[in-house]
Amino acid sequence: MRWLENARLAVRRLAHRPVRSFLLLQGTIWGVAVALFPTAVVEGTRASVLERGEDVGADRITVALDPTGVDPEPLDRGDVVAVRDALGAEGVVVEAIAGVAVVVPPAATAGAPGPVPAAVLAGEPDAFVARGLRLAAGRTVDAAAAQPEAVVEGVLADELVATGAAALGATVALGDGRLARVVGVLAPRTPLQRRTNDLGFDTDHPVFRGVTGRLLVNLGVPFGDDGWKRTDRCAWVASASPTVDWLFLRVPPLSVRGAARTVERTLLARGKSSVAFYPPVYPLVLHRDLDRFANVSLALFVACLSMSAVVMAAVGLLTAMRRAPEVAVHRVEGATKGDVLAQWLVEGGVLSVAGGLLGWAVGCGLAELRIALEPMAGMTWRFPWPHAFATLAVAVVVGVGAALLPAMRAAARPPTEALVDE
Amino acid sequence: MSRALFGAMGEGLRHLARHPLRSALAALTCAVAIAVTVNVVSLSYGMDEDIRRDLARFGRLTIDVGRAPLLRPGAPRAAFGDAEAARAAEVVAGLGATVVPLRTERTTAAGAGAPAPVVLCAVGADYPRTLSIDLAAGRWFTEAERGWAACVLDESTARALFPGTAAAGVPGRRVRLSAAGDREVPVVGVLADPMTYRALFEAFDEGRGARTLVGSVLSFRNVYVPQDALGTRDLSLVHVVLPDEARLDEARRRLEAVWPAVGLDADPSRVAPVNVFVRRAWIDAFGGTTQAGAMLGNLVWVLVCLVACVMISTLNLLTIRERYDEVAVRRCEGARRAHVVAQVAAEGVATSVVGGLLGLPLGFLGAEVLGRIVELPFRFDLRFAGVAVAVSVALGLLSSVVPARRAAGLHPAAVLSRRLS
Repeated sequence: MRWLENARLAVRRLAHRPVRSFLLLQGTIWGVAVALFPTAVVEGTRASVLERGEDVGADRITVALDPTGVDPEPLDRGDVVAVRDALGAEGVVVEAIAGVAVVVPPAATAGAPGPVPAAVLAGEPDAFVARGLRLAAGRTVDAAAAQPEAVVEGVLADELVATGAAALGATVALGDGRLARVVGVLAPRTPLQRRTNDLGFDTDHPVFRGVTGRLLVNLGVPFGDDGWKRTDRCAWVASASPTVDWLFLRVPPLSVRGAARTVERTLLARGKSSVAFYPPVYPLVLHRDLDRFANVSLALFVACLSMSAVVMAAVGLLTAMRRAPEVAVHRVEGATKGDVLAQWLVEGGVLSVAGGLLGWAVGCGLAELRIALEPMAGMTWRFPWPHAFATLAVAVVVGVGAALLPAMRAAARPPTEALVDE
Repeated sequence: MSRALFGAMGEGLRHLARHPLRSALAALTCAVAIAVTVNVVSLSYGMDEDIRRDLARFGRLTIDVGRAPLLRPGAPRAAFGDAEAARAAEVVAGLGATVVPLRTERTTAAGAGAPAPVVLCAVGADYPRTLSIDLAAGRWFTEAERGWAACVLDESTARALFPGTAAAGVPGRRVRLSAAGDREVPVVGVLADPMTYRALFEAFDEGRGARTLVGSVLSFRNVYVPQDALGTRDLSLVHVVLPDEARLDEARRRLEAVWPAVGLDADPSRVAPVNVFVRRAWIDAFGGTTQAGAMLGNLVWVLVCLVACVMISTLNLLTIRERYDEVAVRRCEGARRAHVVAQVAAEGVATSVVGGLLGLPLGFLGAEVLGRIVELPFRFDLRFAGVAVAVSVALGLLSSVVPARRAAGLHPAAVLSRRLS
């Protein structure tokens, strides 16, 4: 009970001088905040990628022919088979793989009965699965059907409905003079998915437009005239043509890095020079390559907390001198040296807990700010409870430690001496 | 400055000596802030400087002409070969330019270690002129060496293909190239690695697969062979190297009259099939990005210094409250407000100078420890140590003058009467 009383007394003293207490807590607040927020971002992103990697494109690899090599050999269906076999041989779970030829029909296709798709993607009947899309209605195309069949993406289906017809059964122009009957409609992409490119960046994000996009070009990443991928207005048709413009692949997020290397090696062995796109940040997060930076925040945590401890100790010494008469009266009333020591240590602990909790709040704010500035679509943050409690515990131990010297001084002074001085 | 002012400052220093523990604790706070400042500034600005120096070796006076790195399925591939190289040479005639064609291909190379994917660059004997990089060992191939008669490796390629062998030991060895039908090609030289932070770059180069061949050439993981090794008239790029900046501008103007410049923020649907790419602009743009990174580093140390400043100010404020009586007595003895401020400021500056000087070895120690556990190039740089001590003095002044002015502004009679009552 005495501990509880000491704690209540300590809280009252802190509340008595709120500004001073707040200023004294700065070291603890910022120390805890800088230790907390990078972990919050990394852990949040890791969980987000593992839990909903499909939504943020963390499970997709997109491959195209490198346009800058000499005499490039085009990709073909044999490459798709070779990549699938190579991945299978390495034990990688291939969730879906497809090679598609892309035809961008002119916007004003003669004789088009309704809206013209942004692009016609010709490949395997279920090729759309390799882009993370799924059927919302209807069925996949029949490659052997007499009239070409198509599965359309969400926005294109809505446009077909807007013309007054049902999407299923409507026709779309394929750009080569043929019309395809719609037999399936794909579930619409979310607005964020429609803005996200193959590298996982939100293409509408101001930081991507102003900085990251330019940086990618600087780093040698090619321009992609592939806006059609993000329109949700494509039509997927079956094709037995050997030509492949894009190879789409889906593997578990943890396998993406290794799978991309295998794709490169396999195509290289077949004399093909390719470029492979996948969100570069997720593998770094998933494989814990970024953990070394956690040590930087740990160093800042130690620096801020050291400053806090030193200043708290110095202020404690001053306070011990000023409060000597109060301590003396307390002792005369029957308090033991241990009581005085405990009271001061509890004060240090309460001060640190307050600083740590404020540090949590500031850390959350910094994490939110970091995510707001991040153009990588799947990055998010999550409060890292174990890490937060660990930092708080360290802050409390340091705070109590800093209170120890002043507490010993306050407890050691004989009451008579203090009262005579006064 | 009057004698009285000097006297006040001397009194301030004596006061510090009278309270050694308190003074030491304040100095320690400064020391920690300075240690952090030295390290963060050294890391961010040091890396920025190193990267800029590296970039300057990437061929500032080189202009690249070639197909746009554009992915547009179905679009016809632009013609770009020997005829375009000749056209480029004709356009820059009279400017003292060297025109160097480049053919690239991805291939697999094997040396003493495991086979590794590399970029094969078929270039002429003039190619080193497109860069400002020395050979680490051996020589470049000559005009007389044709086909697969010789090759030069980038230093990072040499390390990958011949692990554990120093660059000097690589010339004379042979590499097996899949592009050469798996034949063994003798290595005649090793081009020095221009990237100071190669290990860091390799560790975080997650997007390497997304780079085009032409974009990968400047990652310096290449194997260079004579230009006729790849038997094709097709070209990846034509490098045009100018002798100076003035002629670079003129060459750029002439080349851009034939082929458009590629803009970094170009709309992909409007990118021309063949472009002019000025490396100087690329180097400056890249340098700007690393500078932005250094600015972010500033935020960290400014934050730490601000925290230190707030905490030391709080400490000074409390300390000076304990000394209101002393200040009042000094004012009664004839000390002016300025003298009181000078006394406290002298204490603050002395504490921070001592703290700053203590912070330097602490920073050195921190750099050693952090460099080992974080694997980032933390280093102790004396130039930045000077900046840190200046910051420390400013910190001391700022955190002592404000409470000192407040103490000096109090009426002595009011302070003493409160004390007596």
